[in-house]
Amino acid sequence: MAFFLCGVAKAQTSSRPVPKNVEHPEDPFAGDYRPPVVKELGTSAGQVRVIGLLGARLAAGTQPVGQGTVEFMTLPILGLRLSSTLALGSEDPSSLFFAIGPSLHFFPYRRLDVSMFAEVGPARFALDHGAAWSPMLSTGASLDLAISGYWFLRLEGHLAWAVYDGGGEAVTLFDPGGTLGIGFGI
Amino acid sequence: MSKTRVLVIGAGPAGLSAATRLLEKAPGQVEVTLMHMGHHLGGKASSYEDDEDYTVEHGWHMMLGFYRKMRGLMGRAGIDLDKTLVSMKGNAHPFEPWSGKIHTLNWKRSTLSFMGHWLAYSGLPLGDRLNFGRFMAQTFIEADRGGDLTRHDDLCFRTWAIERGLKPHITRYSLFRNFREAYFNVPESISAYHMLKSMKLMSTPKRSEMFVVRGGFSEHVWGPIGAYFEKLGGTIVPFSLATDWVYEGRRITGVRIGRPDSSGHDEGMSAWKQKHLPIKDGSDSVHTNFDSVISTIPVAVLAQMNREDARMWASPYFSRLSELRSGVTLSMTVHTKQPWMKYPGPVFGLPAPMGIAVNMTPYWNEYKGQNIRSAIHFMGQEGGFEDWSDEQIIAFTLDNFSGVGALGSIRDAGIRYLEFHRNRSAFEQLMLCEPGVQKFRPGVRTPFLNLYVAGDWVRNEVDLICMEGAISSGAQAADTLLEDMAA
Repeated sequence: MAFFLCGVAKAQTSSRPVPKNVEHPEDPFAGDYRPPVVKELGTSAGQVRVIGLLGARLAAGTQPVGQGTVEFMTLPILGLRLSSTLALGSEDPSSLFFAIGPSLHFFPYRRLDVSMFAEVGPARFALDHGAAWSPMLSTGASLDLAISGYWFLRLEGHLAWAVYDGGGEAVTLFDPGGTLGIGFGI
Repeated sequence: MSKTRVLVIGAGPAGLSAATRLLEKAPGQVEVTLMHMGHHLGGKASSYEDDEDYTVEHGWHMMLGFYRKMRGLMGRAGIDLDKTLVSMKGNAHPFEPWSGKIHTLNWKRSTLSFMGHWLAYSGLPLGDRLNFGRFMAQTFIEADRGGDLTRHDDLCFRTWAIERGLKPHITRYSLFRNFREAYFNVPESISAYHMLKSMKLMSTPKRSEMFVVRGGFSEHVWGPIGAYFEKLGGTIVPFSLATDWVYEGRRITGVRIGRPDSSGHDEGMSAWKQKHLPIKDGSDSVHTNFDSVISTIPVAVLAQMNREDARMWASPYFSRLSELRSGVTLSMTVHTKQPWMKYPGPVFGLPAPMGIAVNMTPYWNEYKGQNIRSAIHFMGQEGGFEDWSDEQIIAFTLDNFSGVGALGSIRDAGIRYLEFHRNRSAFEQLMLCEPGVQKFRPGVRTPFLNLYVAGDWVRNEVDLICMEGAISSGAQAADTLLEDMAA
């Protein structure tokens, strides 16, 4: 078979004139190119929410605490929280608390959202005879107010419960508290 | 023992792949004839020279790093890959209407380096960048994790993305719109399966690296592969347009063929204007010299064959094929007297119908040493602009690109050559990867025992509408036929 069939064939085409000042209908997709504007608020599936909070715990008077929380939203209403809480006051029985647990959001995609959570994890207790780690359970509720598509304010209240070794005797701790902070959800 | 006579219809990537594979794997056992309608090899990925000796492509094509089968075939055909292919070095340039600027992304980096590059990317505001980045990372993980990705086929990728927390407004950025545009799927939506499969195949910088050929694909790729096929003992029969199947029971006994009318490719026109190609009077005949057929005819053409045969088209297999829709692609080449658009990778995100452009001046050998300062290849799809004239589409495209501040007016750069074609004929159309399309795509086997189908529209291990998909499907059809021969 002739090689030209496998090579490059000639075609009877050539340069076209360059059209100028041609009237045309309106672009059917003009709306697609408008600048995107963030309108979406609240939780959605797949979202990662990073929150920094400051507040107080009340078990030993008003003791300041700082808290960092990362929340992975598996569904728009169901999140997985990873929290760490650091006592900023010297009187707080629990100085450090790492916790993991689910959260349930009642109003996803909305500016105002209420959620409940339960977390469990190790807590460090500073005692006279040294430090000890014990499991601690914390439950509570959050109120989120979206201030933009990505930023939100969070008010959180919780009650922590733990039983720890207080120098040979079991000590039961009920520690209510509240925090306020700001979060960023992507 | 007599050889099995195999007729391969179509000389695009699938046909060339199937035909060479048969002779490579079963030399002495098969006699292969490659029949095709045109005067140049490559099908929808072909190129040809025009009256001014410039190479014209049916549409701009690139090869990606994951095109392993295509590289393999090129290598076996004796093509020097190092000399033929040139990397675009991972550069891509999205135009974002919100900023009015062309931005630059570079994929050819390690994961960590790309994360830093992405954080500094100026094409999206920070919050959107973080959200999009988180979504894409999650998507790549999901795509790469394995499992049956076809379960995502019923959803469009946009909905799929929003369900996974991508902010809906982000889907309006060019960077996201390009997922559809890259497959010429606009204005239709694209199936989430096709996007996930793309990401699975392009999950590393090496596999997603973009390569272009040093010139037209027919000259540099398909021609040498055709010559290799002939060297293996195959026969190429051009100018033969298959119009109907002739069958008895469950066997194809003949293929009705005709010579395309002189208004077509055999006389050298770039593209027929009509959907159904005319046949030259008196050229109609029935080809029967085969035992089995591998058809790589595009689905839009196949769906027109035996149209009067109501029984055939009412059958579950063929009625299912009728559901596969195809889109019309557009292609334009502009040469300028002054340099214009000096970006090293594709610029995309300009308004449809032709929103993607590549400056091929640094890549094509034929542009070197000529008085061409820029050779820009534009591409897109006709959807939504069916009623616009060629002149309207050309002017609209030139005006859109000229409206980008960083580029300046292409008209002022002095246009010395402009070629445009609109691939409206059924044989030029690309299957649309619409949501839900996977269930309608056939496999290699057909209800006819000696008819096999191949092409990027047929299910295959790649499953994407691209050259690698076609080549993979062609190889699969050849393997299946040989298995059936051995059984």
